[in-house]
Amino acid sequence: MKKILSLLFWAGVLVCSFALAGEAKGKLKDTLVLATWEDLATMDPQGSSRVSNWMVQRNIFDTLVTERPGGVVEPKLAKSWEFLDDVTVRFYLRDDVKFHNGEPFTAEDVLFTIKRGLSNPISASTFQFFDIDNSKIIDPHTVDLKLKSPYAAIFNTLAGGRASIVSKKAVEEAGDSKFARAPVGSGPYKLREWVSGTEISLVRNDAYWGNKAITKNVVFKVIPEAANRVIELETGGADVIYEVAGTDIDRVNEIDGAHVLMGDSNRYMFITFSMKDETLASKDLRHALSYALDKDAIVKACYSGAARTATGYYPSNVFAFKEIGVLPYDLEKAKELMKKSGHEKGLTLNFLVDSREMDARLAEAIQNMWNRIGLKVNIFQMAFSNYTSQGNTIQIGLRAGNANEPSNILIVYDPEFGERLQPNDEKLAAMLKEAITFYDSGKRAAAYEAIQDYLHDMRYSIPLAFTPVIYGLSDKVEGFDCDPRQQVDLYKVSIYE
Amino acid sequence: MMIPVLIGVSFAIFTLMYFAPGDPADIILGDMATEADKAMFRKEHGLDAPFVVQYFYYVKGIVTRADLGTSYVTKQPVTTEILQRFPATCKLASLSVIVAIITGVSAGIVSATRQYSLLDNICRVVSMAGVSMPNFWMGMMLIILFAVVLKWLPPSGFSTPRHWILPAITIGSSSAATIMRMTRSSMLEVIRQDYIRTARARGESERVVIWNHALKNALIPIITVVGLSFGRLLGGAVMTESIFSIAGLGKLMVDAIKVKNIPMIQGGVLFIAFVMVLLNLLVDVLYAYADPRIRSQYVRPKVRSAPESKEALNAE
Repeated sequence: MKKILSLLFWAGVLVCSFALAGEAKGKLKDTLVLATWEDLATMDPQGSSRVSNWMVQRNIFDTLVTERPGGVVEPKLAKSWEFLDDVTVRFYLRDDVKFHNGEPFTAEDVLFTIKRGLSNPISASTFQFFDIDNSKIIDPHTVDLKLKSPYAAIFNTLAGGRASIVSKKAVEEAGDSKFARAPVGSGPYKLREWVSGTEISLVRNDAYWGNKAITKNVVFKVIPEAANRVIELETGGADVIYEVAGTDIDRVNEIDGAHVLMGDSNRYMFITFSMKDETLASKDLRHALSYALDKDAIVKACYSGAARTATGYYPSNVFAFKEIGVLPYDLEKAKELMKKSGHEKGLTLNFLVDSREMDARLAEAIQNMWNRIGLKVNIFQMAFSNYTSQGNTIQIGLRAGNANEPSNILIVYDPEFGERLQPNDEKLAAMLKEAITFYDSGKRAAAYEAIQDYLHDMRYSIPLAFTPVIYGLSDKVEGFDCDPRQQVDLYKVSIYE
Repeated sequence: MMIPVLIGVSFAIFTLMYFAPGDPADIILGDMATEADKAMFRKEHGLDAPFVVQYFYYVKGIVTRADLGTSYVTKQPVTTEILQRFPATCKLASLSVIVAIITGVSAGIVSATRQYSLLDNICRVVSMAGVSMPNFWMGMMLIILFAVVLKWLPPSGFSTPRHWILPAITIGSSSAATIMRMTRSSMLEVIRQDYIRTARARGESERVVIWNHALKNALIPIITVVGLSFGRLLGGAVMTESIFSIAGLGKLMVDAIKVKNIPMIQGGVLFIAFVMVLLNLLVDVLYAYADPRIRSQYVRPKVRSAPESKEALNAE
């Protein structure tokens, strides 16, 4: 009897669990709608410089390799690779890949893509380490890529959106300008229609070489207003929304059948000091400025909970990140250092910020705190267009960055680059130059840790905040990764009725 | 008149953009670009040539090939981009003007014929509210009511007629208020004229008096207001376009200004100037339809011209 009862019980459990599973999953839907914040400028990977572009392109194009957060490199269009010497990498390519136009993918497309990148001002600096003239095709599915000098970030570059492999034939037939509106890649989705400024629809590439996409149609709706994206999610007009505003997090979680997906990003917000400025050349002064700021309070007040205080000199999920901790706030020490640097009578500094709301808010909070150590800060606000071009003539600035490779993040301290910080520190430049040549990850990590220590000591910049990526998702969506760069692989995503 | 206006506009906007601070190379390429990248960019877009040479090539392109240049950001011809966005803007402007005319003119007539009645007061209060209420606020309230709470209409987009309703009402309501006030005052003036009393004395029905005699004579200022607001809307209703995520001309221009996409700004301004000039022409033609006195200006008089009518024309 007991046995029968327990059998019945387990049978009941089994039936219930099936029923529940059925209810939760239901039937697969064939269209996924995502609401994004801006229309794409272009679908030409080598002509792209915005996250919004790569977000879509990632699903249309493939790269030679992919890189997971933390720097793990995995094969994609390249099956494997080997270093022939410090500056030569041999890539063995897949031979079963076809572009959307039916053309087979070969080594020629690889060289063509890199050459194309080098000749476009938007991506030329990304590929500057590649020596295209000496790179050569061994056979249709083997290619040797030459580097001008040892370049440890090679896989990061090749996994990046700018290195998406384009079909040589398609580009040559269409021309650059037409190709930018009608891209031909080898990815899991093809472009079906692009209504400028309104929406972009993709359709599954049924001839894809890898795992075929689960959802047949993908639609990116362009909804610039953050509040309206939430409304779209609420009314069922979108299944996934990008860039949820910090103030909207609670609202999204309150929606019946939707939730917030939040995770670390590669975005960071820094205060930068001009390295050439005579006043700011005093290290004591820079440290005083740092001690005078209560970073936790600033971040809490300005980001309303949607960011955390920076604990190091680049995003925490990037290779060789050194956890330094929130930079200390100590008003007494700040005043003491002000005296030491000979500015106890006060000082006036110029602070230039972009006209974005967040930058203005941060600048005001910073200005107030610096006031307390006798500093007068003149804030200049400029439209983005003027800001980027004049950022290097003003003493203090704010820098919002978004990158996942140390050498790209730290390039702002390199004198050869000569931008916002007006870098002139030869020692730092030499350290940066050396770090990029180490292929051995242990050595490389040690080099970058040393650089982060040096930056902490010199204090050319004050880390402020790490801002997360925030998505709003319908509960019916599955398989949506919280990608730090917002470049989500949509072939894995499914949506239920 | 059209050509000198357009040449003037093109020169003014080109000069302004040329001397405005901020190098497009810096802005488009971002602060991770090297000097070499920037030089490459400037060369590609002919930004290294002197001012006069650049302007000459610009005008030459427009005159010979209707080519307004290439957008820095998208690398597409500016003409194509504008023409892609224009239908949405044009549709939105037309729909809103239709909404505005229907509600504005009828409310204006009602107000004028029943001056100081309860209905008149309601219309005046509502129109006052319509004029003072910011468009974007009205749009957001409509979205909350009809899309979120009632779920009758979609909150954003502009693809189907269901999507057109909210934006058209949002913009239409503010122009309607202006049109209503103009109709009311113009009608009130006409209604006091002797010929209206004469018409009534002849025993014509009130409907005929209002529609055929009063409204027809009150039409000129109404046409002016409608023409002006239509023209303004064709330039793009930026706020409403952003709230309803409509890919219109206004949004395109604002985005271009943000990144100093010079060819796009210049092309957009020229295009809007062109549309405005055309629209003014259209309004002038409509005047002639509405008012025989103006029509006579364009028609060679068959009989001898009366000296006093000439004076009237000069006064026009």
